[in-house]
This record gives sequence, C-alpha cells and structure tokens, in this order.
Amino acid sequence: MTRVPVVVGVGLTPFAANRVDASIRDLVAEAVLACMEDAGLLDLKAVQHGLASYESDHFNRQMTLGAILHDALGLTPLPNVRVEGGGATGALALRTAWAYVQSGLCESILVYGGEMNGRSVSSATANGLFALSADADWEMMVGGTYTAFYAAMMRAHMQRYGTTEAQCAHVAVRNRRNARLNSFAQKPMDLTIDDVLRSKPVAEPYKLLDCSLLSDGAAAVLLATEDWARAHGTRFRERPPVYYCATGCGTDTMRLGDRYPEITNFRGKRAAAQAAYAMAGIGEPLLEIDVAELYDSYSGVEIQAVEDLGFVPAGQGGAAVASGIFDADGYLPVNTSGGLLGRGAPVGATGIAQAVEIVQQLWGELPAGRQVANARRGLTDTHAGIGTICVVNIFERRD
Amino acid sequence: MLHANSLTPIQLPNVATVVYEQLRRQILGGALRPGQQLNIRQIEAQLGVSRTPLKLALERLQVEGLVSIHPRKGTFVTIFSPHDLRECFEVRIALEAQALRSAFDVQNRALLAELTDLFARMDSYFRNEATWLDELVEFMDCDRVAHVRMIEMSGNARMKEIYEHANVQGYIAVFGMRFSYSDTLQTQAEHRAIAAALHAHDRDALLVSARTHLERAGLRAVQRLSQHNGGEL
Amino acid sequence: MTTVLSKRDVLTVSAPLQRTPDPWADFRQIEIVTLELTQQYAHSLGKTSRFFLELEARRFFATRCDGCGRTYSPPRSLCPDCLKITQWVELAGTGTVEAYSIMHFASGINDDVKQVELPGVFAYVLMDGASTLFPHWLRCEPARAHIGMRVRVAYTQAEHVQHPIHLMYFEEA
Ligand SMILES: [Zn+2]
Repeated sequence: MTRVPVVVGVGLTPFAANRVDASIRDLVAEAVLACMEDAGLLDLKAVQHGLASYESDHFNRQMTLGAILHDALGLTPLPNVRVEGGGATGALALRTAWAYVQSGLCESILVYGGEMNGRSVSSATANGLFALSADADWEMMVGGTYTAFYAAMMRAHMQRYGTTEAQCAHVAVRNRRNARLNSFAQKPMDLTIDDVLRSKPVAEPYKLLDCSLLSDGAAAVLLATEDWARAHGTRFRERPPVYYCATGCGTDTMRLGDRYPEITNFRGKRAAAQAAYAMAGIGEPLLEIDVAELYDSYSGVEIQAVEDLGFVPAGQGGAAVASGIFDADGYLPVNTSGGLLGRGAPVGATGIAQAVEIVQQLWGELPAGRQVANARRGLTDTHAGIGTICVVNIFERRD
Repeated sequence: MLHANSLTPIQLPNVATVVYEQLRRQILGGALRPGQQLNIRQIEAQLGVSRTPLKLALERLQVEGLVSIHPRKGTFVTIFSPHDLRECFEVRIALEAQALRSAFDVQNRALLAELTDLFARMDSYFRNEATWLDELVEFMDCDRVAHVRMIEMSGNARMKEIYEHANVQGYIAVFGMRFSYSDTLQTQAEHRAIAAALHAHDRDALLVSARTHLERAGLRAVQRLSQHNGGEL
Repeated sequence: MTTVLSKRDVLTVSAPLQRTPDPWADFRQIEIVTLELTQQYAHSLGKTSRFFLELEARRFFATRCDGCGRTYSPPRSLCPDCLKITQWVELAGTGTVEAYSIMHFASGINDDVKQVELPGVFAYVLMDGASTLFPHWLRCEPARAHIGMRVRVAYTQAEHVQHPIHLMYFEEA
C-alpha cells in the first residue's frame, strides 16, 4: 500500500483586511472546524499529529504560537511541530507533513496555519516588520522594501526581455476578476489594464494595483494515508481520491544582488519545479498540469513564475499571460481563487489556501466559471523573500 | 550597406523570390484571406514588377497549396473547410507515425543536433509583440523543417512530398485564422516533449509525443478555422 | 518591552460570511486594546564591521575569495561557493546600475531613511571589480535613472547618520 498522502479534508476562513472579531487562535479554530466538517471527521483526536504553520511572532504578537494553537484545538497530548519558511511557510508546512506521512511517523496529520497581517498594524509597521525579513544589516537598514526588490527584478526582466507594465497589469486585472467568483476573497475587483497602469506608483514599475494584499486569515488541510482516510474520513468515499503526489523545494541567496548576473528570474523556483516534476513524472508542465495557483505577490512575479515553472520559455512570460493562456477560460487556468492579489495573503495560511483551491478543483466542487473542466492534476507555487525559499507542490486526482 | 556605386543587378529569379515571399507573408498573415481573388494587375503595380516573375511566384505558391490558379476565372487564395483540415492532419499523423516507427534513427547525432537547434530557435521567438507576425512566419518555417526532417529519415521521397503538401495546407488555415499566441506556446511545449524524447533516445516516448502533438495541433487548427467560419465545426 | 497604551474600542461585529444561524452569535462583542512592543539591542555588525569603519575614512571595501576569485560587495566574510575565509580589498567606488526601482515610499526603519527624498532611486550597482550587486540609494533625478548608468559612491559625515550604512550613497558619475 502506498504511503503517498491523500487529502482528507480542507478548510478556510474568508481572507479579510481586518478580522477585528478574532484573534489568531480564533481564526485557526474556524479553519480547522471547517476542515473537520469537510472531511466528515467525527473526532479530531483521531488525528495522529499536528503541524502549525505561521511566519511571524511580530505580526501575531505571540511566540510559541504553535503550542498555543495546538492547545486551542484540543490536540494535546498529540505530537506537534511548527514550520516557518517566510512567504512559503504554508507550502513548506504541507511539504513537511508530506514527509511525516511518507516516513511512517504518523498515519494522519492536521496542517493548520494563519496570520494576522491585516490592519491591526499600520502599513508603516507592516512594512517595517516585513523589512526585518530582508537582510537586516544591508538591505533593511538602507531602507529598501520588498516591493522595491521585486520592482528592481522586474525592471531587469523588462530590460532583458521587453516585458511591459501592461503585461503585468493583465495579471492584476485577471486575478482580481477571478476573485469575484470566490466569496472568501478579500478584494474581488472589476478593473481595466488602464486602472492598474494609472494607480498610484509604489516602487516603479509596480503600482498600487500591482501589489498583493495584507490579510487576516487561516487555512487547514488534513493529510493521511489512504487507509487512515478510509477509516476516519466519512466523506472520503464520496469523492474522487486526491493524492498529494509530489513536492519540490529550492532556495536562493537572501540578497538579490548576490545572484548577479541572474537577477531577472527565480533560480530556486526552477530547482523546486524540476524536483517536483521529476517526482510526479511530468515532462512538459504546460501540457500536463490542468490548473495552478501561482505566487502573485506582485503582478509581474506571476510572469516570472510561468517561465521558471517551465510553462513557457524564459522571456515569454509577459506575452504569454497577455495572450490569455492562463485566464480562467484559457489553456492552463491559474489563480482561479484570485491569488494573493485578489483572494489575499495571510502568510502562514497562503500556501495552504493555494492547496485548498487546487484540491477543490480536482474534486470538482467549485462553482461554474471558477471550476476548471476535467482538472486531474494541479500545482501550487509558493515562495519566500524574493524567491529565497521556493516550494512547488503537486496534487493529482486518481480515479 | 548600399553605396551608389555598388548596386548589383537584380536577377529575375531574385525578383520572383521576393514576390513569392511577400505574397506568402500576406496569405499566411491573413492580409489576403482564404477565398479572396488576387488582383494580378494591382499586385504588379503595387510591387512594380512585370508579369513573368509574378507568374513564377504564383506557380510556386500553387505547388505549396497556398493559392489555386483557375485558367479562366483567376487566382484565389486557397479556401479550406474544417473537414479538409482534419483530413490534412490525419494524413500528417499517419505519415509521421509511419516514418518514425519504420526508419527514424534516434541515435542520429547530426539530426538530433539540428532538431534541437530548430526547437531552441522556436523557443526564442515571440518576445516582442511588434515583430510578432514576422516571427510567426519564421516559427512556422522552423516547424515545417523540423517535421520534414523527421519524415526524411524514412528515406521515402514520395512520402515526403505528400507530407509537405498536407503540412502546408495545415498552415494556411492556421495563419488565415490568426493562429494565436496561446497556440504557439502549446506548440512549443509539445515540441519540447518531442525533443526530450529524442534526447532520451526513447522511441516509444517519441511516437507518443509526436502523435499527441499532431492530434492537438489538428484540434487547434480546426477550432481556429471553425471560429473563423462562424463557429460551425 | 510590551506595554498596553490604551483600551481602544468596544464594538459589535457581524459574521464575516453572514451565515445564519451564526454559530458564533454569542461571541460578536469585541474589545480591542492598543499594544506597543519596543525592543533595544546592542546589535553587532559582526565580521563585516570593517566595511562600515572604512566608510568613515571615505574608503569603499569589499571582500575577495582567493579560492574562486569572486569579489563580494556587499562583503561576505565567508565565500559561499568555496567556504573559504575571504580577504578585504579596496574598490575604486565606481560602478554601473544593473537594476533599480523608483520608490515612492520607503520603510521608516531609521532616521536616515526618513530623510531620503522621495520619490527616490533604489539601485543595485555592480561596483567596478566586484562580482555581486550593491543595493543603495542613488541620489539623482529619478527620470535619469537607467540600467547601464555609471555611478560612484558619495560619502556622508559620520555625525549626520544613525546607521553607518548611510555613511554612503550613490551619485551619478
Ligand atoms: Zn570562493
């Protein structure tokens, strides 16, 4: 019997700019209750392991949050582990859970995570806290922000390949439009390319509408061996089985400048994708992936991602996204959830929520317009920093 | 650099080639639409050429199946139905599968290098929207050469002739219908799968990836053509 | 230190998705307080301290690896490729912009940054003789900034800065 984990259930809170009604532990509890209901799991204590996913002690105003969340969920005295990987935290959490199940350490594991990145802090404080995740002695103290690091990368991409601001804007328009079909999304919007181009410049070439959101929110995924899922997930037999079949991880230097001359794209993402494709037996991802959630922290990042994930050759990402090939009705729909631009980005939940979207796509449970027809294999792409830690996870429906 | 004292006389065949290339681009680019009659006098005047090189160019286009010359009615850009197109692709699939199965040498290093180079060139196009159309013609030329090289391995000259004819007819349809950028990206990915099979010297994978490519290319072309014809398949 | 600055607000909120019945109906009255967290550190600039000390003498230093010949600017004390301990080398202080962004907001991380004129150019510069890019502010008319622009290090008086990285900035060469 294979130990490749199956997805037993998924749960989300809506992503919002300011969940004043909830603390981080309230949010995670909401997501876990939704996950239990989705799995048809009658007793949470039947789960054999916990895994807490969150990035920042500062944003959450709490150290050892893993222990607190585990306690709040009534999971003591079960074993627990906390995973952190910057922006890639949620995806790295799933990857860790994958290994825990594959190794035989446990038959089932509840991955739960969240973040309070919303308006409980001012945007100046948020910028300052995120700057702490840059190289503190150099980039942070100079006064750079992540928006500027990404913007400089995009400027180099534009210079080398002729990528345009309008092509970036296409991503911002499409992902926020996709969010309109997602009632859990923070910022559904009906925009034009011009709206994006005319929005307030933040760090050129990026403007306000090119930037993703700061969100409060939580997400949970229950992974298990197929045997455990059959025994405990009362809804498992109702659905086509979805396997978490492959995972890849790659890294790059902390500072963009240390990657010179390779500053237009994400090396770590290429490594992560290659590892995941090798594990999944994928040769040509554009042909063999049916749906994907890509890390669109900034609009142009999705353009770089479709190149680094091997969907299109290097330098063609801009023209490719503008062609509509990745739109909801395109050849390979991406960010049907709305992505980080439209759905939102509570860091510890982001990568888990991407997986939730993909799994629901493969189950075929999403509303018309958002549901991709006959989706059998889906991918999530998540990264930290400016591609400093990259994780690619692949899910497959096998029925 | 052209200097006043270094002009070279233009040979007749050169003029014919230039005319051929211009007309071909007009047809493939969709400026001259399927079914449209060519106004020979107007073309002569616009290009500033005489009848003979124009005639040579049109004959060459007819051999490729891009135009049909009817002695009394005139010269027309070839028109296709989705049915014609589907047949073209069926011929291509059958011939290509046969050629690859019977004689294709996955160990042929020179051929492998050439195909790798062709596919790499195709991957390098389309970075600039302004030169999109020029590149599309080159892209399709590379595509044609790559597929013909694979057929040539069979050593069957007749097969090659039939194949090229079926191939060109496929192109006119996709071009006339404005083959989309999204289509070229899918084509590239399918070619990369073929290239990977070649590099792995994996004959089975090669057969599967080549067949998949032609089947999907056929579907795309038929889809574009029927969109053009008003949505009827 | 964590301090409670004030009791800020008491409010009643509705369920985020307007679900009826609201399972959390009894938990919709909320109180919010304002917290302030401040920390102070004696933060060592570690083995790259010499870079900052040399800036005071208006000298621009990098580190070079004898193993692979790469020159790191900003300096790295250990070559990540060879894991060899690097050597200090002085650079001319001129270089070329390889990437940049025109920033309309900056993090208010220290008083030096608060004084940066915005919009301002945040540039990644390949210093002559270096193998990596150095990020810093390029003080010039933003519209003049471009990839390939020649720039040089300019120096600030030590008494005028809070963090020693602001002993320098870039200007058009
Ligand atoms: Zn070295």
